[in-house]
Amino acid sequence: MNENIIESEGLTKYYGHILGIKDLNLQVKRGEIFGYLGPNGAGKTTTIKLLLDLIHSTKGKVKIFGLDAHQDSLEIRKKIGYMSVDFNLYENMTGEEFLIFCQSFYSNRDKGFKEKLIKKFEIKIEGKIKTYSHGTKQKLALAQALLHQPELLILDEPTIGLDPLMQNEFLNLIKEQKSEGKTVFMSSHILLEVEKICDRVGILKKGTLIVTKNIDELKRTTERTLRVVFQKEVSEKELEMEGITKIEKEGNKYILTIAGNEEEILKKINSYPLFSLNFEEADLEDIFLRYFKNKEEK
Amino acid sequence: MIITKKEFKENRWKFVIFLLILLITEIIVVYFYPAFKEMQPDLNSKMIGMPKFLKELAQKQLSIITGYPAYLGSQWFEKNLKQFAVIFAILLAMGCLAKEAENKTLELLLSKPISRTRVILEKFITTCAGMFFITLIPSMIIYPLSLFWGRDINGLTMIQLILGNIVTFSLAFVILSYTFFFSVLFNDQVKTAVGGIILTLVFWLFSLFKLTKNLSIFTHCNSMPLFLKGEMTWNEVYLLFSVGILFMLLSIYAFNRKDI
Repeated sequence: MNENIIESEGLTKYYGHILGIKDLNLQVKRGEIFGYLGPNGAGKTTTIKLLLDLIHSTKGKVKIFGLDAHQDSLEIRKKIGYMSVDFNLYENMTGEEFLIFCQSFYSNRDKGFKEKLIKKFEIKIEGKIKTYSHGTKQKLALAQALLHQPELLILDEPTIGLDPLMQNEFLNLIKEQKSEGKTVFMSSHILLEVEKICDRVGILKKGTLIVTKNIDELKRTTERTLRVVFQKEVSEKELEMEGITKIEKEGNKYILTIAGNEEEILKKINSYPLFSLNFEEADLEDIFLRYFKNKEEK
Repeated sequence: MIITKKEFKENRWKFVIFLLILLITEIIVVYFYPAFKEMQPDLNSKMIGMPKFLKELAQKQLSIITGYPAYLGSQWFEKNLKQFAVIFAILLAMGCLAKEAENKTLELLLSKPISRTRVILEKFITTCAGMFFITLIPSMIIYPLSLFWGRDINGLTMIQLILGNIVTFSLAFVILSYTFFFSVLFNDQVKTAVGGIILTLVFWLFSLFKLTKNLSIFTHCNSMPLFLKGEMTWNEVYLLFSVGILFMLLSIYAFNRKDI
């Protein structure tokens, strides 16, 4: 579980003078679903393209399965399944022809597994791909990524453009991959889906990885709001302590913004007689927005 | 052979259409030989009012057509087949990589365990093979067709027809190669075609002037010695194939360095 499947070191990519990503140090562990977050243009697709050796880095290195992503690209791609953000398929092929075409690149050509995928994803394989719906095309794109039973699945915004029902179905399929021991590296800007299925996330901003954390840890260490109503007057000064970053007062009610040191803070607050105490759980969206807001301020 | 199969399947209709065009043209060329022979002595009188240099050029060209083999060399290999080969070469090569880039399928293809060099070679070889056969088949059919219409085919052998086709194909090979190179450089079929057409025009212009004549690929593609004197212009053919291979190597180099 602790073995790094993806490991980058100072990975930098410039498109001419335009920055793609800068000094990216990323580790993705075997068997995890890693969510790669960031707004549009943050460098998510650039990272993925570097992993697949579709573009060449300006500086730095990436290792996948311990192999150099550029030098040993062919060997690496045998073990990777990839679905791109603007997945375009060979529209004049039928679904079946397309899957056979994709499967022919690999030595592992398990016909039974192909049939299993078609059945499981309920993919239409008759008729030309250009006649298929967006959802069916997307399922076909995911199926081609899974055909050779890869160890690592790289998905660039896999649920973009899907309706909520289909999105859910898709996320379940990705979760199944994890349960089969596969590693998933998934970029997204839909935070809810990342929160639902990812073990760890990396947040990317303007080409720089600003944080990589376990989702629970991220929630724990990110600023949260604590609403407290005291039975008696407590001065602001009494509440000043490590971990409390902001104090807002409305009569006996306090709104405290806290970041870390939760145990000590709660111990101190509980030493006063209380009417109520409420923790507002931050979801990933709040965390994401706070990260971006804080960094902007800095 | 995965890409080869796909390329052949994707281009099959282009190949069939181009082959049909050439077959129809070839039938016309063979069929109208008697009419041409009848008109030949009168052509001088029909060139009244034509600019002097054009008149001289036409007279020079007509004077060498002394028999059926020379007629075929001039009207089939040097005119129709050559002109169509130039157009077909650009049309076939323009889509090779640029179309995949336009449709964004190149990313999917290169995410598979296949090297860029192999992708480009398989695509290029399929296109070249297609081009070779669509020019070779009509050239081969000339023989039975000529016999069928009772043309004076003595002295003209199947080998000459094959060699004549190799001369024309060497020109198509260069054009395929540089258009293919543009296809690697631009992610757009129109830009690729424009690049191919411009370079072809430049070569054609070079062929018109004494000073630049030897720099033109058109000057070196000449099958007439084969049909007039039975001499094959191997050096020119080697030269054209070498230029084509050079562009192919440049394409491989550029494609391996390209960001997709």
